[in-house]
Amino acid sequence: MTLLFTLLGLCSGAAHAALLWQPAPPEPTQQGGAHQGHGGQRGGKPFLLQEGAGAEAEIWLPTLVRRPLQVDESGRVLVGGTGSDNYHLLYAKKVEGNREQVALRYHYQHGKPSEASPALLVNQDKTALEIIPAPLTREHQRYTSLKSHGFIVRFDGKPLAGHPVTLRSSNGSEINGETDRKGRITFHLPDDFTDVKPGRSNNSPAEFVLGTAHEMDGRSYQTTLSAPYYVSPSHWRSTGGGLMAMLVGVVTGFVVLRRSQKSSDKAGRA
Amino acid sequence: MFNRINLSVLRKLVQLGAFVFLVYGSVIVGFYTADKISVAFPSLTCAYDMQSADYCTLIPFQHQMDHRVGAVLSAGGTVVQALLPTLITLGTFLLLFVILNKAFCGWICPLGFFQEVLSLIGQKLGLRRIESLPQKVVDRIRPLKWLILLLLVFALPLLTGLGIAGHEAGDPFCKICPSRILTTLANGDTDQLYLDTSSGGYLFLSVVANFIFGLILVWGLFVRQPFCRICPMLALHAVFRKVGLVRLVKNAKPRCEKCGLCAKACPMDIREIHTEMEKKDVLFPDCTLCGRCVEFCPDKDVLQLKYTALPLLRADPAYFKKRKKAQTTWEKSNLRNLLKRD
Repeated sequence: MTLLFTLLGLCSGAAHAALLWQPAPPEPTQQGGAHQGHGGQRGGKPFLLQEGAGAEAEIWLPTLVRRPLQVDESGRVLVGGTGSDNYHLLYAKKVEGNREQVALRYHYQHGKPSEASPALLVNQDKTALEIIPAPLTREHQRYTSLKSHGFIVRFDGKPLAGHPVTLRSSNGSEINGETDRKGRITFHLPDDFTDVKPGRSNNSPAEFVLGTAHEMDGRSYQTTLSAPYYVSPSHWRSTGGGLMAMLVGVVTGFVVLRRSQKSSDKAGRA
Repeated sequence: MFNRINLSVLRKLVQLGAFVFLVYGSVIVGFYTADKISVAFPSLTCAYDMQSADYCTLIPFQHQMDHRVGAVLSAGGTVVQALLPTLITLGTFLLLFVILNKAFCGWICPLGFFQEVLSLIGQKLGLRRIESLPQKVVDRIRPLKWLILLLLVFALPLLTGLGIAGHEAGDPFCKICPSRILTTLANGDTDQLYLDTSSGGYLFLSVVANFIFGLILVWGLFVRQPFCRICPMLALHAVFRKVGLVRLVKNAKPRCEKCGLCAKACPMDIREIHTEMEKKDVLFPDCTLCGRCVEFCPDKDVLQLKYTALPLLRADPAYFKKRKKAQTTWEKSNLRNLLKRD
């Protein structure tokens, strides 16, 4: 029998807070205002492992090589260069009695593809209860508000059908959903940013956390997957405007052609 | 049916296959960047198309100028350090380019194929088409592809990397590239058809992009290959065309001076293919290796499409007659003539 329970305390301060990866504010020496390209921050990126006391943390390289991460007392982890680019996995696991908690986060390192496809990392069984991005965003694509993104929930490598999953955002939104028979769930990311300014680089990303839990043979499993999401560019981009500019091009094209045909007719008659 | 197959028909079939593969090919090669064929492809297949099989080489060039070359030079690094990723991209591009040379334009490019489809629609509607542009116009247009390559693919992104230009100029060619709009729309994604009001620079680039796409939609019906003539990929191909294995060779005969059918057949209006009487290598910078000049050459072996020394297609009087007849039949069968008959 499966006991389902809501993901605990990501934002609401419920009885049990969940193990969870979050970005940490950079140290004053790491701050730099300039655009840093795809992936940025070659000097290392800091993360916070929430409720990470007693947890084991690792970084998984795109080739599935695993390396331990040092978590300090405040839960802070500095993820530096690994010699590989592209997507890595931040993995943390905490076992307390019959309760097993896992936190997952895909972290993009630098700006070029590595020797391995992210599909290898994404599809690899990493823990008993797992939330898998389907697909993980790639370059030139991000999680953005007002867009739908798919995920798959697996237990022991098999899809969990009809299973509840909760999405909570750092902007205060909460969406509850249920996986379909293939274990798939799609979330339409909320447009819950306030004070949106025009331009991608003028808006800081927010965080969303997917959480799910499952019980099997008297043992409970709780997993979170966290990721940043960005303001939808539709706030400063207009499809209607683009269409209008295209139509102006169409009309101009006709006018120029007509003129050119007329002058060619005149030249022909002369 | 096989009787109707000529080089142009074969090329259209290859173009259709290449279009489907490049625009929707992620289902075969994979979704992620690391799965793509080369990430330095020699034709306009777009990274903004989430289902694409590969990315065009102009994308990494712009990114490297912006994020790598500019950044390394600003930090006091050497030119070699700064250019190393660009050289790797160039090497990858050349590995592919050598195989087909400029035929990547005439046989593979999704945007090139789209323009040919527009041209076919124009023909079938019986529109009054401009089969060849005036020489003056062609001469004025030709330098634009070099200007776009140097300015939009290399100079402006470099200036952004050096902190001189704004972030809008980081990948300005992608911002105006019609293939970005075409290939995403082909996937039912309207996200790339936008007017960006976040800054003056982005607004300008987005207006230009949509305006150009609108122009192509109209001009493609009346004029052959309107965008190809100013495409920076054509210029990049022109730089390396001597190393490609596909060649266009001419053994000029005195009759060539009076003929000129090859130049008329050329969709890029390369009159030099007719006027060149001495050089054997007639692969000119604007050539897309479509092979129409060879098809419409009535004199035996005067023009040849070769793969290194191996002839792929030779001009042949019998082929010419058949091809010309097929073309006349094709052109006559259009909506205007159909309505006239009724």
